[in-house]
Amino acid sequence: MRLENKTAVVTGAGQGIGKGIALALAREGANVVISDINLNEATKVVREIEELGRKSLAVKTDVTSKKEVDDLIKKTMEKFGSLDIMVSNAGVSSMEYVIDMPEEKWDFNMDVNLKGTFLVTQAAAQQMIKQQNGKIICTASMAGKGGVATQAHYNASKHGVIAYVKSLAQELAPCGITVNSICPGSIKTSMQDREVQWSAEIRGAGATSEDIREEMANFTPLGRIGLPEDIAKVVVFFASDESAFMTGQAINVTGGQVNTI
Amino acid sequence: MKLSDKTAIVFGCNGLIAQAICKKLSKEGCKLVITDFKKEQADKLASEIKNAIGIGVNVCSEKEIKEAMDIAIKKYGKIDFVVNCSRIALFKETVELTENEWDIIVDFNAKSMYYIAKAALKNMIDNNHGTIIGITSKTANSGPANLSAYAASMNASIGLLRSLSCEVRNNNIRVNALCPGYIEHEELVLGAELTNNEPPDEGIYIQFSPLINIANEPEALANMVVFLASKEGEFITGQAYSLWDDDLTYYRNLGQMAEL
Repeated sequence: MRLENKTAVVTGAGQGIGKGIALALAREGANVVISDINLNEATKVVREIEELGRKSLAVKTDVTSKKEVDDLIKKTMEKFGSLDIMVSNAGVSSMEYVIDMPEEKWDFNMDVNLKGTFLVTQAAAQQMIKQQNGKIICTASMAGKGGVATQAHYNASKHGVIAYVKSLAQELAPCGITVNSICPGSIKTSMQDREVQWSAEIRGAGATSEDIREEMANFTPLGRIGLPEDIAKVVVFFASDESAFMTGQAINVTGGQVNTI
Repeated sequence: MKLSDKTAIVFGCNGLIAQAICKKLSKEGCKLVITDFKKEQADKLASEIKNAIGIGVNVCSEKEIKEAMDIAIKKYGKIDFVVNCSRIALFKETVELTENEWDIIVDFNAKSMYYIAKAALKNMIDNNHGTIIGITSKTANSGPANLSAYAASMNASIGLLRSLSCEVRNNNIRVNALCPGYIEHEELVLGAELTNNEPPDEGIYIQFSPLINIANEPEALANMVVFLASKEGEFITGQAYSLWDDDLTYYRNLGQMAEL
């Protein structure tokens, strides 16, 4: 096991990619704090982690609230005494053309995806600087490297995460803290289920969710839609010593896809 | 002249880059509406060039941006080009950066791009023609230390512009970004003012490569703007151009404050 006795915090860990990451970290020996805006879902994941023989804790966190984010780190320190791995993963998406986009949709995507990343990693960095070590991993997106119609706000937020991570990596390198981001492609999650449905509606002409999914798989050189476990494996790598000489990177985990559809 | 009978609105004209762009556009025959956070700044530049008017606009206000577009359309009948040069910068470690400072920087640099694009598109879609150019930063790609909110906001703008280029491809509207390789003194001054920080010393700017003579850059970027706006650039959209390749990591990460 690569992460024995390490303490990890994963935001947005109640479901989807975050849940996959939390379970993978636990399988490698880490105790994992499950942070999510939905405490009910977080609690279910805590039980799964405990079944693996690790310690866990559910914390309700709205990552756009500095108070709640600071509270997350405080509770982690109280229960586990250190913070070795911070996975800033909480994220949202929606689909709108810019011309019709209400300001609230812009704010929602930017606040959760980008500002949330700032607040979570800043709070984690403040603790990790005291320890003079730590691993910070942010979930960005393939959308952080290209453009796709109807997701300008989401793409803006994910581009922002990638640039932010590069800057933070430079600042924290002297403290022995690495900061990297992962860029998932098409991954089977509830976020994707919603997006697939929106895509079918926007496309019209009788397009079904299944048509969109098939198209996504066809656009992926490895020929399938990814699973949260595919992402989690790369996060474990960034959380472990194997990535000791990597920082400031934005790694695609997209099945070979290089841009958005 | 490459841009006769064309009209442009330029947001943010306090820096040398924006001023070079406005002067070059005017020289090529383009009629201009020039805006700045400080009206006197916009008026001053407008008085120095042909066929230009100045307006004070806070790019954090959608209302003021819409009003500026309306003035431009009323005066010239259409908007062919929009250039957003509005940028502010704050040089500070991320662990020390306050939530309020983060919000001010990201809103001024990235949300402004969303407001401006949205407001400009209405007229451009009606005309089935238009070009939007965002002046962002090379930090969007390099990510230097002590500029995390700035880098994040600039790459956010690029993400927005890339997506937008896909949305309006069939409306004959092109959307591109330019990435200057240094941070201007004026960005630091306005950034400090809006975030209630100490102003930088006179002439201070932020440079990423000692290998480049930044004195040449405003003019070079202005040439790129004209190229992208003119017929020569009509097959280019969704791109983010900088003027040189990434520097050696050592220099890139230095992000040093320097004196002009």
